[in-house]
Amino acid sequence: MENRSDEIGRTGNEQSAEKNPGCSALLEAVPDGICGVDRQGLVNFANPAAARLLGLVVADLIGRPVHEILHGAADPSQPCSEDYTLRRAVCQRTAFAGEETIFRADGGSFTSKYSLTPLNGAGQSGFVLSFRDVSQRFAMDQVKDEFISTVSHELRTPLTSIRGALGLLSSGILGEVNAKAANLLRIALNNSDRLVRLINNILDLERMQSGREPLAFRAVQLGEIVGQAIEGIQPVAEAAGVLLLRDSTQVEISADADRLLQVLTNLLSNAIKFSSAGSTILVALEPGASGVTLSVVDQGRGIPADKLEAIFERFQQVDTADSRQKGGSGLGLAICRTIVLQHAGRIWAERNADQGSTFRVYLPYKPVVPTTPSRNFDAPVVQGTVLLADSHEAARPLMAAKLRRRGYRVMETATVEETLAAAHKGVDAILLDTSLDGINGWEILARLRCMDPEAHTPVVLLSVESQPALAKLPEGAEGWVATPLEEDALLNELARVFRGQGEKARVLVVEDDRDLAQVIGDVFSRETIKVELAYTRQSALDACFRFEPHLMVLDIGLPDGDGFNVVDWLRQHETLSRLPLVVYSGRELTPAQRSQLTLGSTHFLTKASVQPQELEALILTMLRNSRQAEEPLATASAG
Amino acid sequence: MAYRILIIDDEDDIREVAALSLETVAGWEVVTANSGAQGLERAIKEQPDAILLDVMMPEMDGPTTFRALRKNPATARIPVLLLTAKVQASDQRRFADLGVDAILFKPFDPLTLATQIAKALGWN
Repeated sequence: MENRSDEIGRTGNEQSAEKNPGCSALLEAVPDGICGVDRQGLVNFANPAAARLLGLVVADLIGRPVHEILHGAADPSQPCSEDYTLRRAVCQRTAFAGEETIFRADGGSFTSKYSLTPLNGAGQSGFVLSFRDVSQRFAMDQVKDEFISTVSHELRTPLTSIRGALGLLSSGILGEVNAKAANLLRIALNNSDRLVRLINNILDLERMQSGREPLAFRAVQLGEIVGQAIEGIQPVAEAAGVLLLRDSTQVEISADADRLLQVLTNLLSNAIKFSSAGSTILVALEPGASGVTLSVVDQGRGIPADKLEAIFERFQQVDTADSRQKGGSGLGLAICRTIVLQHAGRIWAERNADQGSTFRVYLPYKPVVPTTPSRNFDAPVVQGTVLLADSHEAARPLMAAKLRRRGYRVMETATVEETLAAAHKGVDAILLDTSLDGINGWEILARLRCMDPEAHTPVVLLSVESQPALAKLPEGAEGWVATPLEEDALLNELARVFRGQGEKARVLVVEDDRDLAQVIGDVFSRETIKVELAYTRQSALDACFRFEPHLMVLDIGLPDGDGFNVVDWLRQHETLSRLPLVVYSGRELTPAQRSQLTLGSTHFLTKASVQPQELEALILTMLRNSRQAEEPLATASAG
Repeated sequence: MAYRILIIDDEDDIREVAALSLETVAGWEVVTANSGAQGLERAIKEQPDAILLDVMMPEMDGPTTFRALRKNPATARIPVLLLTAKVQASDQRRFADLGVDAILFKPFDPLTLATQIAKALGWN
């Protein structure tokens, strides 16, 4: 019997080596253990890694039952039951994967991730078993778990005595306390409660984000959860004199009921905190095509427009004088966002037109979530609101969908009237098709600017013409994207326009002739550019670090060294080695000289032959191009 | 009714505050022990109506003490509630497997500790 299975084994391994030498090399090299298993559950092939992981040689594995090679060396007093899943999978020819302890021949063991897959090809029967050692990762997780458990315990223990002592004192049960003392006790008690909540929240957030608290999805009646949340927080609302209202919409979605209850309770608690007595809070459900939007509307003091996104970050609170006194850890909304993202949904806040805020949560009916939620959720964070004005009925929805996938809220309009009506505060950027509704886009620009004279809302033009060669955007437009659209071009331009606001471009002019330097500096009449003048090589180098220019205008002939020197120096510094350059020289430069002076985007001008306006236009174009190139990097690292 | 409760916890302050809470708020009688071993002794001697048991104690921890209490016929029938700062889900699963009568969390509200115990054990 043994001889025969040896034969089979050799043939199995040898056969594969003969038939497919390249394949055999792969199997030799792969670090995962791979075994071929026949219909009876006996191993007929094993790669070197399999043998190594199990502490055996390949020959020892051939002909043995697959279950035995994994658990054969385990403690015999605790055998696996007959219907142990691996055995069942072999019998029933089903695929199976799991995480298990595998026992080595020497009695040692390790945690492994393994899978058993039936082979179904022609002439093939049996299974392939693949497994790998995950004890490292497992150990790390354990360390982390233990750390969290210990920290939690250590923090809670002294807090227990504090909380207990303060609770008893504060209640007066141990004797009357004078008013001032009572007040101090109340303060101490509130803050120790706050500390407990903070500990809970931090650990909660950590657990959820580590993905090891898996959600339990089931069919949930959202209306019921709303009811539970309201019921639970009713005492707090009553104490604050705030009325809680809800609509009667019934919606069923697939979700983790406990987690959603947590989100709702948190939103209601916030709403009550920032509402005054006598006001009302409304919870409404709005079913849509693919999901439902839940809204919590309050009449409180509202959230500043520039904080609407920031409040969802960890430890962010709206920074008004008494909001800190209201308690809270600054983590509630971060936790809500994590939960909502785990449901493949979105959460965002809006300012109400009249007063207060509305928090909205969008939840898909059937979320498609990765089975192991991880820190990098694909669902995007809300980036802002974009008004998309385009009368092409076929193209506009596609563009809108692309933007939504990237996390933008998109309002779509198709006519001039709709656009002007929708272009109010709350829109962060306007994407305007220049042929909207047959009217030339420039005309709408003028009307939009009338409504918004301070140009707070940037406008990006979508046009079939390519970008004007010399940064000559029409008055009032911030950006330009040519159609047909390249998705990246649009997203980059949008990101640039969103982020570029408020940051002036910085240009460093290095010119030893002070009069000429002044002339060049004056060329930049636009407010959006900040100019610094440097008259010597040394001051130019200093300015590079201090002023951090986006672009440098450089005169080749400098008194204390020359332009070549400056460029060489720039090339050696990582952050400056791609600095856009405009090189000014008195004479024409040879190609060799030009290449020595080239960093990233570099243009060469001779002093005599250029007009100031041309210089300005060139620099503006270079600035725009360099910032467009920068944006994708910025987005990737912030994500 | 004035129940007698045995509090087993190695933290002096927590014993004191918990005892004070049960005495002044509920009017119950309290005996204490500062270790698992001492707790076992006191339980046999005092025959309390319930035992509040801490988890993290040196030498003989909560679960070990609990198993000893259950093994000893003199104490096997006394209800045991864990009072613990170990609130992680993984810890909870471990405790549930033990077979204690209830699990209460630290920090606790001193004004309602007695009520929580009574509710958990179905008293009153």
